[in-house]
Amino acid sequence: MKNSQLYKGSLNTIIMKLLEENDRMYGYEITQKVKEITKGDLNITEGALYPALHKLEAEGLLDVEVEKVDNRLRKYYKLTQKGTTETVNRLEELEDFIKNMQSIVNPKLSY
Amino acid sequence: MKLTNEQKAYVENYISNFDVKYYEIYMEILDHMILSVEDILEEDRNIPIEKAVLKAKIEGFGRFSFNEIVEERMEVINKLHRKEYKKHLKSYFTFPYFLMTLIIFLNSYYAISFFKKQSKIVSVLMIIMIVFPLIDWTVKRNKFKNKEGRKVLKMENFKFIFSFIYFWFAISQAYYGFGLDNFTVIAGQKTAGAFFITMSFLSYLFYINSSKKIMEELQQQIFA
Repeated sequence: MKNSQLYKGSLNTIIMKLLEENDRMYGYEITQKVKEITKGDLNITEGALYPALHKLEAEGLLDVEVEKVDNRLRKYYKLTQKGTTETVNRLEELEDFIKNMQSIVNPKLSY
Repeated sequence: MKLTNEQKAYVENYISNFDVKYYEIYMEILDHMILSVEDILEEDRNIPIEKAVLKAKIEGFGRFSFNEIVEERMEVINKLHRKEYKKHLKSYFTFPYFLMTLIIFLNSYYAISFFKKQSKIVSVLMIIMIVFPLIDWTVKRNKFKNKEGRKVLKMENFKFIFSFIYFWFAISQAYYGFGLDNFTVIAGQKTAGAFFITMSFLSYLFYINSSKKIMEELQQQIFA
């Protein structure tokens, strides 16, 4: 992951947003999806991803489903009801943050 | 590019070198590493499997062991149980469950009053509340302890939630001088005894609820 506190602080919201759009995803799929969307600019390391996923699971925001794929078990993550509500809140918060930063950094472009 | 069985075995052996003790973590790391190696080999088919595995490991998990994920996972789970335990206790001190707590407390208080050696009775009642979950935990541990030669992380949770019951027993023993006090206790100490029994019972209820939930998860996610 890019060595920036801005990205690190938004990791949970990124994961939740992706799960909101894709119903359920496994760890590797999340890293690849982020890479694809950002055209390789943002690379989430596994060392950052799994602790974040486990934390969200512990907070009751994510649910887990395990399935056998290619003769091994795969762990899928999906949003719980609480997680879906929380995603909306966190995205609103992030949008506000971006808007405010835009106003400060580049007032001419602010909306 | 899908890995051959031999290549998968190589990845499994590679991860095993890092002594990933718990099955749940191993399962997740293995799936991730295999997928990552498949993509690396897809990009460059000439790269040897050893280099592809090393690349997947370093790029994803860094140069060191996988233990960071294991430790973090344990910490997250224990934190969750502590939070749930506090929530559980809090619910029994708010209406309407508070009435049940009060009934347990009053019954314990009057039950203690029937006996001469009251501190001993408190200890006996609390030991009974320890023995049942201890037997339950032992049976489950023997049945679901290992999966493919690795420990099951969720079984470690039982130890942690059991410790909540044991905590109140230890507190009561410290309060009564570790069973040395054979005499009839005074009203204040009797109240304390009833309180310890009530808290143990509430912790026991927490154990029952959590144990049911953990067993369901174990059956669905690990031993399906």
